[in-house]
Amino acid sequence: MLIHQPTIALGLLSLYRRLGAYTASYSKFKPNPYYTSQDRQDNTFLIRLKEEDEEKFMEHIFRSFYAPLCKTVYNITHDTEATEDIVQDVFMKVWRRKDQLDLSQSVKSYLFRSSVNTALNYLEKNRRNTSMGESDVNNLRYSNNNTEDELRYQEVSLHIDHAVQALPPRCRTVFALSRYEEMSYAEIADQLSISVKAVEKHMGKALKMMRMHLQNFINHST
Amino acid sequence: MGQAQEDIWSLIGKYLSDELSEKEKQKLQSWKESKAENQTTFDQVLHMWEQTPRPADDYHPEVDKGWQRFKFRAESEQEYYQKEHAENKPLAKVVHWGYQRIAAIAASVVLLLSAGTWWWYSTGTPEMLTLSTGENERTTLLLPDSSQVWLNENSQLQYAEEFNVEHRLVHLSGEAFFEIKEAEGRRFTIFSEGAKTEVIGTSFNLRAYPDTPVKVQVVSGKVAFSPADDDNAVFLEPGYEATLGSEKKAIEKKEPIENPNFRAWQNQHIQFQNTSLQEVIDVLEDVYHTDIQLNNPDLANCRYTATFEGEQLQDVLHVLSVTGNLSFERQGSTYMISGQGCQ
Repeated sequence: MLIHQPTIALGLLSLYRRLGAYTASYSKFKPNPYYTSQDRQDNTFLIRLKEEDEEKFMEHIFRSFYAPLCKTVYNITHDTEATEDIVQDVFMKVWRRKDQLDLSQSVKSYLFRSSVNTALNYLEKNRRNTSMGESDVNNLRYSNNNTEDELRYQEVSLHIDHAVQALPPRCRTVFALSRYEEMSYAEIADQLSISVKAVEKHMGKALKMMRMHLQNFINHST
Repeated sequence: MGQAQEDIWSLIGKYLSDELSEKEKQKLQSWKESKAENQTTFDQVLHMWEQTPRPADDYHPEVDKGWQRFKFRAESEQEYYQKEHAENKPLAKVVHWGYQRIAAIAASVVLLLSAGTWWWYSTGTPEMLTLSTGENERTTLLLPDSSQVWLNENSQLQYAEEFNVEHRLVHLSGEAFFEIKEAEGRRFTIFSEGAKTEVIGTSFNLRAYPDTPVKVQVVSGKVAFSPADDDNAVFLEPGYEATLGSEKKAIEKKEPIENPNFRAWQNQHIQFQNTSLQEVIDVLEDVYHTDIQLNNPDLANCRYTATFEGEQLQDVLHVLSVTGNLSFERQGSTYMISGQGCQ
């Protein structure tokens, strides 16, 4: 789609303008087939594996889903250590309750839901003040072959990332699921056991807060 | 910010996620057209959305390591539960603050005051608690998660004031014997002189004096042992030991525990198996913090086989003198041993 050229170029926009080279062309997302609540898979194989050898079954689902779950959780937490602890805990829970595991349902959906909710609980428990520190800006990879534009780009990305991290836990989770997992509102609502209306509100609030956050950065840096 | 404004943000969100109905599309369109400023806001948010970095793009979780860690946790937990069932004890779920526990803590506090030094460390956050022992001092400590630590001489144990069941981490310099309580599968981590030891629920001896190789010796449960900045752990079963060389680079291979008296300092259980009197004396001096002298150098060659479980030094020496045809007397803080000696 075409991006409408604004008549008034505010700081943020002109900044982005200069980064044209790095801006991905905008395309509408197709729903991600990977995780959906309607996910129906053939579980005959898993059911047989679990009956034959519980440990092999566990290893099979761990090796199949550990990496994608970590990536999803990392998109929410932005912290590798916390992410791996969260995903480990989710698998431990499965292992402890393996006798009550309902294999007529999708294992993938169950693991995904459980990981997202554990990540959300983690955020709610560990609310930190994330504000942009001097050191973060200084930590940008300054090297001779970085053009000024590239540095600006990194800086913008860093600020956007901080804006995401400053969001309240639920807004942040909804934002991550929509932006990175490309899930529909109905799916997000289902995952988090909230209404679609609530998803709309969280998403709106997330965008509004992020823009304010970035507005401050623009005003400071010009 | 009016109700209408709030709705606009939700509409922009829905636009980005492709969730707009026809009616809402028109609503958003007329909002954009009503003011130039609105169009700008909309464009900015669109750019922000596109430029949001994807955190997971350069994150590649290591499945093998993850699986190792999971297996270790699952096995440790299973062993622990099987053991608990075998002993017909109820499953330990949460730590109860019963009278017993308070009494135990009170007891350990009294112990702390009588042995070892205890002070607040207030350089930076978080607050660290430090327990240390000097020459010839030993002490024990009950941690908030009910794990117990025996601290040998010239050692120091540090942990954050907010140590709790969910975050179990201590630092050790020196030697300690740990009995770690299982707590819902959560790790207990010990950093010591460049070594990292991770356990779930287990007991083991850890010797980490500065400038010597760090050694771990496992009594029960499972232990993961690695350099501090590395996750390539060696997993140890009961009866095995492993060493981290002075390079602090890699764990030297694990092998069965050689020295039967590695934890004698902690439980006073001593085993001699055709052991020369010289070695016997070395062990006794270490366990009982005392000085033992031989009147006759030939005595050092005599060999002994015996087992002691928590006896006083007097009694140990008495048994040796009866079996080995020698005599001993106490002179101040030193024991003198005299006798024929052996070739």
